Amino acid sequence: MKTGSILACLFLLFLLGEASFIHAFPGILSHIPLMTIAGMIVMQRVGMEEGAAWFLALALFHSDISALCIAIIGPILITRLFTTRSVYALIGFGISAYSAVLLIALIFPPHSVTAALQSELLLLPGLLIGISMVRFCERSLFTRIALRPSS
Amino acid sequence: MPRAWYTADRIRVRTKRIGIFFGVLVLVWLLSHTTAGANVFHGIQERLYRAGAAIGRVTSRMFTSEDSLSAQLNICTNRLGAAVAQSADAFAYQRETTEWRALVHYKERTAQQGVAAHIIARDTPEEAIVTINRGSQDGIGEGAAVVVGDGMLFGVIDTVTETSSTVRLTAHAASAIPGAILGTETTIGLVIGKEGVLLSMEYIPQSTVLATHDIVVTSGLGGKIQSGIVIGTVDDVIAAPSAPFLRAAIRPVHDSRVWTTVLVMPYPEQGL
Repeated sequence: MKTGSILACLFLLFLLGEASFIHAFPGILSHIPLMTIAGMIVMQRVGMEEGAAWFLALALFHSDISALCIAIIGPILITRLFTTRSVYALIGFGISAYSAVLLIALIFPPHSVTAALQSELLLLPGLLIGISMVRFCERSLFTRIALRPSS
Repeated sequence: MPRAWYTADRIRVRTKRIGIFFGVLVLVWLLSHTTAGANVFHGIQERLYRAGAAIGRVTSRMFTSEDSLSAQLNICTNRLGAAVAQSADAFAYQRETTEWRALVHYKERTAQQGVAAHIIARDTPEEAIVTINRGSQDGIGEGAAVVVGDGMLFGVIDTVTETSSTVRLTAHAASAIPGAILGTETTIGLVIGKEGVLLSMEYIPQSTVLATHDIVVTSGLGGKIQSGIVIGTVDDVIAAPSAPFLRAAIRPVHDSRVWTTVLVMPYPEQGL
């Protein structure tokens, strides 16, 4: 109950943040893929089902085929290739999943390849910053109390 | 047996968690369709957008020295935009004195009755679409002109919901606005969005006399956009001897990223 609600709140917060905050930034900074970064971290740290649900919801909200693509191939990559919860596995997962997005952008003309490339460029630093923040939060006392399993 | 129990329990927990995740999202989505819910979301989005735009402006200043050529070019570009808008106003006032009756009526129906709106979200720059916090409840209709500053065309209303609308900017690839040269009422071509800074004016008859720095305004053709709203200035005229039409590169008089408030104009024939 708690994790599901927290995930939904984070999803909405990041959705509003990306559309209204990030996209108002100048130049390449407006391409920071906040929802994708958060979704990938959720898929690796929380669970592949929750991550897939995240990307599925993103695909529904944005009518975005690339999010649907990550929702499908993400769990396969997580279970078959990048099984550990290390930073390297997350980076590998990010690059692999986003390469699939680039492929989708190349196949379907309405998707901008330039925008996808710029997003991929920002994905790696975004994932590193994101995972650092997650680790910091995981160590904090508040999170440990809030996410403590109910006995 | 314990393994099967563990798997079943794991599936149950995950299913419940995902169910709650989607449940909360659907609940919020439904709430966002009520007026009160939409107002709350628009308030949050407006503040986030303002914060993002402010950070963008600060970042631009940090990376642009006041003495640099690009900073001076920006200042000159802004002054040119202001001068163009002022000269458009001056011409409008001149016409007002000669055709006062018609223009007083025009002002009553258009400039005084626009709906002010805030930009609450923006797609990536390549998509050139923004969302504003006014919708059909406020009388906004598809195709209406959206202006900024002293009457500079920002874009055209693309889609409308009850509480919000999307604006297709003039730089959007699907944007096609009938244009005229300031001082004439005859449509001379269609101003079309292109990737990059400049717009393109297409289908200009070969007989048209066009010079660089001419001011391009909306012609009013189609009945949804008033005439005389400034689109930009002619940057270059491209004439191919074998082509049936001329083409002109149009430089917009403003940077669409800096605005946070816009004015949605009513349809010329009915008003909001």
